[in-house]
Amino acid sequence: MPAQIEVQGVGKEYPMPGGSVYALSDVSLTLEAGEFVSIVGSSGSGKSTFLYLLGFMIRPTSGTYRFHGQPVQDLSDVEQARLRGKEIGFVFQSFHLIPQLNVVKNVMLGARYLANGDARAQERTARTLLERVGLSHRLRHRPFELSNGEMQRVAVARALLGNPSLILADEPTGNLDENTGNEIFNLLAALNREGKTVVVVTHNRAIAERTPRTITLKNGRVSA
Amino acid sequence: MKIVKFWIEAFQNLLLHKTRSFLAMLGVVFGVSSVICMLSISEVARRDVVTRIERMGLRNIILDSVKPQRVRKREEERSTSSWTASYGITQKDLEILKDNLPSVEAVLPMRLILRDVSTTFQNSDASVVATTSEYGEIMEHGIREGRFLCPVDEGQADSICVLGHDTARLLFPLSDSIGEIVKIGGDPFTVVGVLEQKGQTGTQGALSNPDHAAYIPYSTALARFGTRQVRSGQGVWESTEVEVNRAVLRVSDVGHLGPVAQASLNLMESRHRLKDVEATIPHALLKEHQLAERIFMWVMGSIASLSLLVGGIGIMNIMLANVAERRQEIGVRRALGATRSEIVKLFLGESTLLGGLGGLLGLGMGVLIALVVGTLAQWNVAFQPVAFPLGFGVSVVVALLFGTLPAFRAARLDPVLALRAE
Ligand SMILES: Nc1ncnc2c1ncn2[C@@H]1O[C@H](COP(=O)(O)OP(=O)(O)O)[C@@H](O)[C@H]1O
Ligand SMILES: [Mg+2]
Repeated sequence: MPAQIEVQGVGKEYPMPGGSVYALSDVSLTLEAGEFVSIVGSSGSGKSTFLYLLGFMIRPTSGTYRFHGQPVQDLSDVEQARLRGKEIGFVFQSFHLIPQLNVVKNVMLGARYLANGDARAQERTARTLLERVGLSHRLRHRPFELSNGEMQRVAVARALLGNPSLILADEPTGNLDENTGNEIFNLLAALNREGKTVVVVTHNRAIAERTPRTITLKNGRVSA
Repeated sequence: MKIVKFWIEAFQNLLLHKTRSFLAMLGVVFGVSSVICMLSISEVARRDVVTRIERMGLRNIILDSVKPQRVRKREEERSTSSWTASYGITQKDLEILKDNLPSVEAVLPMRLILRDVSTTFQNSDASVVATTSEYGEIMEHGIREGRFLCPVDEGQADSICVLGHDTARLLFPLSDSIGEIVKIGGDPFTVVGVLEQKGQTGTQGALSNPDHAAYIPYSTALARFGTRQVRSGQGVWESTEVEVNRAVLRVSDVGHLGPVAQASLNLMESRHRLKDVEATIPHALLKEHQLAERIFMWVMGSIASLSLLVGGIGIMNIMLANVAERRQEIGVRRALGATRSEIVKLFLGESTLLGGLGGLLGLGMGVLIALVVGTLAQWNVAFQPVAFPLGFGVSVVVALLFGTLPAFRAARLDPVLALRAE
């Protein structure tokens, strides 16, 4: 049984007029299914780049990436998109909810990109997920009527609609105060306990210390 | 099912920006409505003009006697004297035309008799036209009841007449007019037939409305009323001598119309001292009209394309604004598993819907404007059925074309950059 994620000597080079920027250099890493990992590092160290790379949003310029044993770089853009929809849930620092849509509609945003497209079943799933994150009383509200913590919970529910095996969160507590940040972290931890692999990028040392494994990036390299 | 959902979602997205979407549609709305308007209104004018021309006979040449300028001047100078203005086509001219122009199959004389038509109970101002039995065939004017003039009537200079449709209706509103007597200039004439309704022809003057006339044999007119006609009253005293007001030449071949018309004018010029004959070729008028119409269609087409172009650019601008505003949404959708082509579909769907809705609104508005204009101007508006699918289709295609750039821009967007926290 191959590991869920095997990254081998991966690099990401951005050619710029003043010389290339290496956002990632020679990163190698293995994550087993069900792991709970935090990624830390100073600003610009390549954390986000690495997270998006894990979610097939960025193609590495060198090295190999196997997802459940499958070389991701061999997949076409469309195949990567399909795999992303099925396996991966993203959570962002600034939530990225659609302001004009209510909570349920926001959670349903990715519904049409999922293989099992039964609209009614998907709406039931969305309501269940919102109940799960404690927002059953906010279904018809729009994002601006919610607190930051509530918005991030909507975003987590949105990431869960396709029942992904891997949650990728880029500084999910970055815009939250300590208490609500902890709540979101606990939510991610609970998802991990249910068997989902969770990777969370964070600036917050305290949060990083609560994950079983922490990876530190420095200038695009994994530091020991 | 999925398709329906797709359009509903596109519609809901447009509803998120009601004002903006509405403004985006305006160009297309005006473009399409002007197409509908111009097509239907020009169609009215076209049908009218074309039928009027066709009623003159497309194989005919019409020669009209016109009062020369010099005669007119002399007439004014000697308004009280007993001078008679004499001009125009003569019967002799017609014989010469017929003998010299082999392409002319038949020559029809028409002479306007300046007398009133009446019954004991009813007056009318119908024109009295002296002509021959060939009138019906050459002018393509059928008989409705009874019979038309026949060669025998002419030989005997009988006092019979045939009434145009409107004249029969006016003089005999209740009874059948055949066999009845009408008075023409005081003399009794027996009605032997009534013509079918024909409608206005494309010429000017008293001979332009064949329904509002009474037809008598040419020979009868000569015998009864002579060649000199006097019109007097209200200080005007006019005496004219015109043998034939209008001659209609039927030509064997459409291709000969032009040369024959020229040749007959030349003949007339050589025989008359003054220029007193004018020729009209209905077929040439029709061609001219068709050319004018083609030019009109081109101009109209250009206006319509221009406004649709403006409409398309409007849609493009709005959609570009939408794409710029929805960068994060695009990034999120990609993160949720959307492919580039699904992003293209999302935005192309919205612009197509804008175009389609604009097209429908434009059709409705065009119909409305055409009807209002038609009512005010008292035209029968004739909608061309093809204009509707055409207008709708064109607006959808325009929206599709102009929606392509914004849609591809959205799809090319780097989702990672789009998602970066500002
Ligand atoms: N699209 C890009 N083009 C050029 N440089 C980039 C791009 N994305 C990221 N970088 C550079 O790569 C480095 C790592 O960026 P990032 O992964 O966002 O860092 P972090 O998330 O750790 O703050 C930075 O120096 C950044 O400027
Ligand atoms: Mg970052």
